Amino acid sequence: MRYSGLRLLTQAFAGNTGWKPAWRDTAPKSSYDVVIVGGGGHGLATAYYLAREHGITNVAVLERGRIGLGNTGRNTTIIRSNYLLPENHNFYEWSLKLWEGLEQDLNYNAMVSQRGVLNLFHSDAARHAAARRGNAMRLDGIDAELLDRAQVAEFCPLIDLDNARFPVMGGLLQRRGGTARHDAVAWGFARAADRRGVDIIQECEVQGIETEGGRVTALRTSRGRIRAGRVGLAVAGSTSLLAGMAGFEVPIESHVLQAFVSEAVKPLVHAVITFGAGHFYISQSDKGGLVFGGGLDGWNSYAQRGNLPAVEHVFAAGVAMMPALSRLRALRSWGGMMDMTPDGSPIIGLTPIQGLTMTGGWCYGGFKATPGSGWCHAWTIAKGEPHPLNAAFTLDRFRQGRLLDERGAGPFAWAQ
Amino acid sequence: MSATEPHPWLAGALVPGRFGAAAGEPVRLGTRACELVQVLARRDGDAALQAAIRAAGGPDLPPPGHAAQGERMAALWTQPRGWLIQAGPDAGLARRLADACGPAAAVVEQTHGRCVFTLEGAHARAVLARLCRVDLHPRAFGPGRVAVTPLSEIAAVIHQTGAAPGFDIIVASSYARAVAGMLAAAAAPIGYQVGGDQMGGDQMGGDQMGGDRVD
Amino acid sequence: MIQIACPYCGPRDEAEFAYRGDATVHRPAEEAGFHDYVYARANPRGWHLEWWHHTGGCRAVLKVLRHTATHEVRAVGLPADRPEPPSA
Ligand SMILES: Cc1cc2nc3c(=O)[nH]c(=O)nc-3n(C[C@H](O)[C@H](O)[C@H](O)COP(=O)(O)OP(=O)(O)OC[C@H]3O[C@@H](n4cnc5c(N)ncnc54)[C@H](O)[C@@H]3O)c2cc1C
Ligand SMILES: [Zn+2]
Repeated sequence: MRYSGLRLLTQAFAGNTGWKPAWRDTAPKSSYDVVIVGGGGHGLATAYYLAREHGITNVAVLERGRIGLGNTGRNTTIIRSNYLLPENHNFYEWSLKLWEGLEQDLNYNAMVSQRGVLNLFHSDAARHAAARRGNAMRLDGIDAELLDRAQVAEFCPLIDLDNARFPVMGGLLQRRGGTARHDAVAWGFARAADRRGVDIIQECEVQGIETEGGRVTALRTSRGRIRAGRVGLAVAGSTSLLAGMAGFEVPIESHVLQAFVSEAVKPLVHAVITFGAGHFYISQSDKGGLVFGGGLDGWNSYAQRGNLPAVEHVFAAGVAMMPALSRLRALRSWGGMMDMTPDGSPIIGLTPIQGLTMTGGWCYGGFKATPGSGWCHAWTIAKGEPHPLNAAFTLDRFRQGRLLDERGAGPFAWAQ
Repeated sequence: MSATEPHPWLAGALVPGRFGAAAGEPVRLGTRACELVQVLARRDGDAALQAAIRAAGGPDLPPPGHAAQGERMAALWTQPRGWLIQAGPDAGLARRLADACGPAAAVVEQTHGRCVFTLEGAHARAVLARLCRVDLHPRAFGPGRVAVTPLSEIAAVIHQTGAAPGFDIIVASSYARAVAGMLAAAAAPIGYQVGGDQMGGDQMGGDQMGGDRVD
Repeated sequence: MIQIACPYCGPRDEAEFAYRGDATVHRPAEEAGFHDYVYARANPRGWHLEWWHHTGGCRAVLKVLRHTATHEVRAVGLPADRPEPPSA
């Protein structure tokens, strides 16, 4: 069923009785050409692009729970491509371009909103770093603007420019950055993949990975054994566990990251604003809630829930950046499981097991990567080798000393 | 600077008078003038450090979480094999301890490096509980006990000096102004007194240090 | 809130500590082991032996056995201690 304005209208008059489920809830077959593990945005996008770009449709996505309830449904929905390193910004820019055409492509309203992402800075050193990053982006054709104090004040009047400890000196703005509706991204990819023949299998936990002579052959799941010569992992914070099932190690730690939403208010923050002096970023959802978050709780966790010290830190940083926030009530808080890599960049590509590929190590920033990750992962599965866009995101780059260390801060910089 | 001079960082931060809630018994907020020396035993230096402290009129060095009062000075445990020595005005204490310890211990003068606040009165516990995370209930804490713990975000040593209860709160001098403000804000809903009849701080420092307020 | 019973200070909130990760990593004698030393970290869903530095208290570095799904702290010791995960 195609979605359109006309369909909405006719359904309105038909009492909305004619809508069909957006995707089939199927039982697993005993064998597929490709099985994707993980029904988050990355897994669903991988399946979709396998079908659309490479004509591979005998594909199943196995999800342990219900699709989109992992990090895809828990993140703060920021999309952007304002990275320093060419490997990073070119990949994320491709992803951003896919976002720009996504809704037409999927025939699904993912509420992609290019409202701008502004990174504030508070010192000369940080200004230089922002200018350097912006220039690196522009050299590769990506939009970036350096705002001074007055322009920041005009762009977002709520920001306290004169905080005693962290006066704002300006900001790096990417106008094409913004937000998208997280659930809709999972549902949109699921529906579009389903329409091309992909089986989406929920409540199906992968419990073992079978290999023969270094090749993947089958998966043992809570719904039986499923044979597949090609398997793609897209399991976010569970990457270490799935790699362990296949007998290899990944340089990943699973950590908890929290996010928050306030009561709904009138339009207040019209872009995504990030604080440069502490862990804090904020945007406003279309419902009116302010959506915000900060840094990791800081210790290994598979629990999808965090603790109060991180909450206190986030709120303190938020009030330092926008004092007016102190008048708001927080409505909800939640946590997700981040797969943190030593250099903070992802891993998309081949693994030591033949036929087994992965997209993971997304740290706290993989939502924006969803279409790009799925696109590159699908390419890697179809061709048996990475696309140039994900060629640098290898698993063995740590052994080779080819780190993608955005901040130049050394291994596990996020843990310092 | 000697211990009896006021802390320059606090100039104007704590002025005498009664503030905050007007009803009920206020807590008393002040500062204490004293000498402070940090001592850390080096490898195999424990015995020599203990001997030097005792020779200077100090107590047996107390175990974790405790303070001990000697004839001329008190010792507050602050970390494994590390103590803060607190004495009445006694210029040159750090030098004498360093000479006596030799290589057995690192001895660092802290008299101007730290600032000692005093907080006393029936509601002192309630004020501190607003700022720190340790359990100060008499079942868990009491006179002669020491806790090294952040006060809000600021590193502090909390020493219960009396059963009233009374506390010494020792922080880095560079944070003294901020801590004065924090203590005042935390005490305001209860009401607090600085100086005056119910003197809490400076006037009680010095000689009275060795009294029964520290056990 | 995670509470860690510091052997010196008694039970304290996680906010007083700095987490220092996997406590099973050892500096290798040979250059060959350095990749694992720098990058490989245990990441179990279950009992995890980890370093917590009591930065806000006594400054001791503690070895803690904690469950990464329940966050339960089972044992807290000094660096030389070898707490064993419960066998159950
Ligand atoms: C609080 C928070 C805020 C964030 N904010 C942003 C942001 O603003 N911008 C941004 O770009 N990124 C953000 N991120 C990161 C982003 O959410 C993730 O990187 C991204 O969503 C990962 O997508 P995914 O599809 O790989 O993971 P998920 O959506 O977590 O999908 C993985 C799926 O795998 C399933 N699975 C796991 N194990 C198995 C198994 N054994 N068998 C079957 N299925 C299994 C899980 O159930 C899950 O559904 C944030 C994350 C969090 C938690
Ligand atoms: Zn301790």
